[in-house]
Formats: sequence, structure tokens, C-alpha cells
Amino acid sequence: MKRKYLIYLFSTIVIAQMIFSIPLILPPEGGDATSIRVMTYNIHQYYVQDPSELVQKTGHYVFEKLLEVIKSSKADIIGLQENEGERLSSGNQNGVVWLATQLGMYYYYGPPTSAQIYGEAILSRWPIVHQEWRAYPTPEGIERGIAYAVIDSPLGELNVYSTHFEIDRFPIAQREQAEFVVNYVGDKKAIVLGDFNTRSDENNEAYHILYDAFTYGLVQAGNHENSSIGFTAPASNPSHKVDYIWLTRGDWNVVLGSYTVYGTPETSDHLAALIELV
Amino acid sequence: MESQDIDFIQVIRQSGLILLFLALFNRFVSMTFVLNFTTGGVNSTLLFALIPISAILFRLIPWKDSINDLLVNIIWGGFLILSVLSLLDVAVYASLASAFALNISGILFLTSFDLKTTETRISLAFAPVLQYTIYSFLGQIYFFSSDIGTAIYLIILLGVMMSLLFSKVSYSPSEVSFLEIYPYLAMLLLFLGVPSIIATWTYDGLIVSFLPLSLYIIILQSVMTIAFIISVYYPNPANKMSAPVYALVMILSLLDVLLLKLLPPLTVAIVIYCSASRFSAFEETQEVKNFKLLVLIQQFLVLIFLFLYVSAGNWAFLPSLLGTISRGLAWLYIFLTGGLFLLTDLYLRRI
Repeated sequence: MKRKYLIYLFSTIVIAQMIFSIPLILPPEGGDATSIRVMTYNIHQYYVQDPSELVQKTGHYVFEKLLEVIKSSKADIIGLQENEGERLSSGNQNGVVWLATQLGMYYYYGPPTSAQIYGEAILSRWPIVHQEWRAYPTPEGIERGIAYAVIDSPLGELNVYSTHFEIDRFPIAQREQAEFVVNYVGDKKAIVLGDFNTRSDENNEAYHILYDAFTYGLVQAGNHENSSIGFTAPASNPSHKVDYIWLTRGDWNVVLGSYTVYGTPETSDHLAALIELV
Repeated sequence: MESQDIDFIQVIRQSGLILLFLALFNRFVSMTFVLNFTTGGVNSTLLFALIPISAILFRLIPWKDSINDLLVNIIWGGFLILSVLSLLDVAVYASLASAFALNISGILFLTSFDLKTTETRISLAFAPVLQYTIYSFLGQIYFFSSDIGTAIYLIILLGVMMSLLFSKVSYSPSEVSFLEIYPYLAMLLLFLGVPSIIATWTYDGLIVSFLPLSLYIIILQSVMTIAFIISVYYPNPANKMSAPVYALVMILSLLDVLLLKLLPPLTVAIVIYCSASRFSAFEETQEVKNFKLLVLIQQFLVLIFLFLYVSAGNWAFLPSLLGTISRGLAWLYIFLTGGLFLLTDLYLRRI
């Protein structure tokens, strides 16, 4: 084989890369809407981990199952947590881009891989006009943060946040993170999505800071604060709430009965929670 | 590069081997981590972590060449079967398959790659380009993450295996070649082999303001591919400058990560370019003293850096000492692996 054929080969490869990358740069369709379905979902770095099911301890990736769950929910805006896949231990892959491309959505990746955070991302059916993230102070526990995006939706500009709190073994960190969120949101009309790792019991300071500052999507959709409808973890036997949709007070109308959970133990160790806003 | 005809089949075969090596190493590390630290406590599967070193130990035993070739062919058959088993929902089989495959890949590298041949040099540049293309086709996710990706992986696996089994090419392997190639492969595995890793690693303030992530990945992918092409066609001028430029870029990268959290795509492309051009101009003129000891030290260091790199992002799941020495230091272990590559290169060339 002559060297000139290698030039043809390499050129073909470059062109192929360009062609395959077209879906990444084509803007999604967006479209009109009279209501907006918002979802929060901890996706556990795209593989299954459920301590109750030995057979599931495979480390197999579940991208296609995740896609099915999100598609079936018809969510317009999704706050993802534990979406950081660009670690060697997570397979060196960008699941946020993949999901956004498959769903025809815009996305914000959130904290970069170098931040060593497990990931907070935002997917949106409509264009994201501003995006940023902040790291929480870490007096204890691991590095965590919050992603923020302004979305140009048919209902106007929406301020959407996605976050993942410290586990409840570290109550001081949780409290500081809750205070950070309240200050960060300020007086904006906002939707705060996330895995807050806080249970709705009277001793949990972080929960009460959030509950006092915002309204709880589950309650706004016509359910009792402690309703089992809101249980999202563990996915195999949901027994408590850690995944919440918070709304700024007096700013939103929630469709009654719209609070729904999606997912199975075969897609994540959490279920997704969704409400519909008008 | 010599103005001679190139064995195209050999280029494809060796590129396929490198691709499989990277895919299986990735699979091996993520499976070992998941099985030991996130789905339960440490268990016997952690012993598989020792397998990468066993490959080199195996080769260092003075087998007769005929026995070596026979073993490689027999184990290749097992490699295929075990890899297919990894499609089943049984974690330990999957881990075992990956570990065996990795081991055999190591053996194959030792017996199949010789930097003195033009084909090997081109393959080392071509394989990452091929990997970028497959990643872009799969939407920036990994072989084993989708049905179509798994199918592509199996096709490559079958193709390379059949090509090796029926090949009439007689290799004259160079162990010194492997000493140089291994840290390069480690660099590809950790950081440089997938543009979307570099893109998300550096995806912070300034870039977010000016460039969508998707476009950044595409630009990065294209720049790196073109850099590889240049390194194959114009190796000699590049090679004269590559060692000092590579060292300078390493220092700039370190400052970038520490101070600005920004590693421009051009910087990374230069690193890749220099790496490939060094291979392209490789001349093996003398024996290396204490070769076996050097190989063992290098393999051990790569394994340590790789383990600490993985630990850095997952320190909370690890014993406290490991957490302390790895927390927030992923950049350091990438840097040290790059430094190891540079040092190996400089030592072998006696610059």
C-alpha cells in the first residue's frame, strides 16, 4: 500500500468524525407548550447499584434503559445528579451529551470533570441562555455543587437549579448547603431540583431550611407532605424521600395530581420525581 | 518515515489490538472498582488488579518462542469466549473476562509490536483516531454501554482474532518497544484517548462562556486527528523539537490545571502530536541495561498512578489513607503518568 492511500484513509476518518458529530451540533426542535413537566433524577453514573439485589451487581451500563424512562415521562426539563461519567471508574464516557442527543434536548453539563464532583446537569427542551455552577463549602464530606441554568421556555425565562447534597451523616454540611441554596436562588422565580439526601423529619435542619424558603412540589400537586407517593429511594423498595422538587413561593401553579415517580431498580438506585407546571 | 510500501492489513490489525487493549483496560478498571467499592465491600475480585503486572512477568519468563506462540493462539480463543460471557448479567464472569483479556492483550503487545516497523508506528497514531471516530459514532459513550457499541466491539474482536490466527507475518518483537509504548497507552487510557474527557475536564468558566461543549469536543477531536496525521507524514522535523516542546507543554499543563483549570485543545493536541512523532522517528540502536528491572518498575508505577487517579475521584469509598493521598489530586497522577512517558522516552534515546 502506498503512502498516498493512507492520506485517503485518514481523510475519510476525519470526514466520518464530522458526519457522526452532526447530531451533537444541530439545535433541538424546542416547540411550543402550555405546561412544563420538570423532573429530578439521580442516575447513579449510568450503572445499577442496588444492595438488595445481588444479581444486579454487575456494573453494566444502563444508558438505553435510562433513555426509555426519561422518554416515557415526557419530561421537558430534567435535573440530573450523579451524571459524571468521564472518570475511568465510570467508563470514560459522556452520558449527558448522549442523553441530550437522543432526547433532542439542550443541556448544561454542570461542574467539569476536574471538579471531582459526582455531577449535576440540566437537560432542557428549550434553549439554555445562561449557565453556571457553584461548589459548596466542604467542611466535611465530599465535594459537591449546584448547577444553574436560565431556560428560554414558552412560559418565559425559567431559573432552574440541579443539586446533590451531602449524605445525612454530615448534618452540618447539609445545613450549610441548604443555606447556600436559599441565598444562591435569592428572589428569583426558580425551580430547584435535586437529590437532597434529607428526610422530612423534624430533626433535619436542612430539610426545614428548604421547606421554609420554598414550596414543596409534592404538596403543591395536592399530596400530603409525608405521602408515600414521594418516596424515591431505594428504587427497589422506596421507603423515604431524598429527591425533591422545590419551587419559589407564590410563583408557580402546579397541576393537581401531577406528581409522579418514574424508573425501576434496573435503571438507578433512585426513582425519578416529576411534576407539571402551568 | 521510509518511502516504502505499507502492509495495510498489519496497520489495521495492530490498530485493532490497541483499540481492544484500551477498551478492555477501561472495562477492567471500571468493573474492578464497581465490584469492590461501590456495590459492596472489598472482595476477591480485587486480586484481578494484579493481572496487568502478571502479563509482563509472564513474558519475562524465558519461554521458547514456539510455546509462546501456541499459548497466545490458545488463549486468544479463550479471550473471545470469555469476552462474550461478559455480556451476561454475572459480574464476576465479566470481571474475569476483562482481566483475562487484558492479560492476553499485554502478551500480544509484547509479541506483536515492534517500533522498528513503519506499520507499528502508523498504528500507534491511527488507533486513537479510530477510537475517536467510534466514540463520535456512538455519541461519546463507551463500547459496552449500548447494544450497537457491544456489537462493534465484538466485530473488531473477531476481526483482529481471525487476522492474527491466519496471519503469515513473522514478528520479531522488541521488548524495548513495549517499554516505550506502555506509558503512551496509559496516557491514552487516563486522559488523552477520549476528547470528551479533556473537554469536560476543562469545561469551566471561560470555555462555557464562548463555546458549547459539543462544539468544543468536535474541535478537539478534529485538531487531535489532524495532529496525528501531521505526525505520521512529517515526523523528522517534528521529532527534533518534540522532547523540549513536550516537556514545556507538561509544565504549562500543570500550571493550567493548578491556576486556571483550563487546558486549551491546542495544548493537548501538541502533546499527542509530539508523542506520535517520537514514535515515528524511533530508532532502536542499542540494548537497554537492566531492561527487565526497568519494565517492572515502569509497570508498577503505571499501576500505582492509575489506581490513585481512579481513587482521586472516589476517595470517599476508599480506606482513609488512600483517600488522604488521592483526594483532589487526579491532575497530579495524569501529570506523573505523562512525566513517566517523557522520562522513558528520554532514557531510551539517551538525550
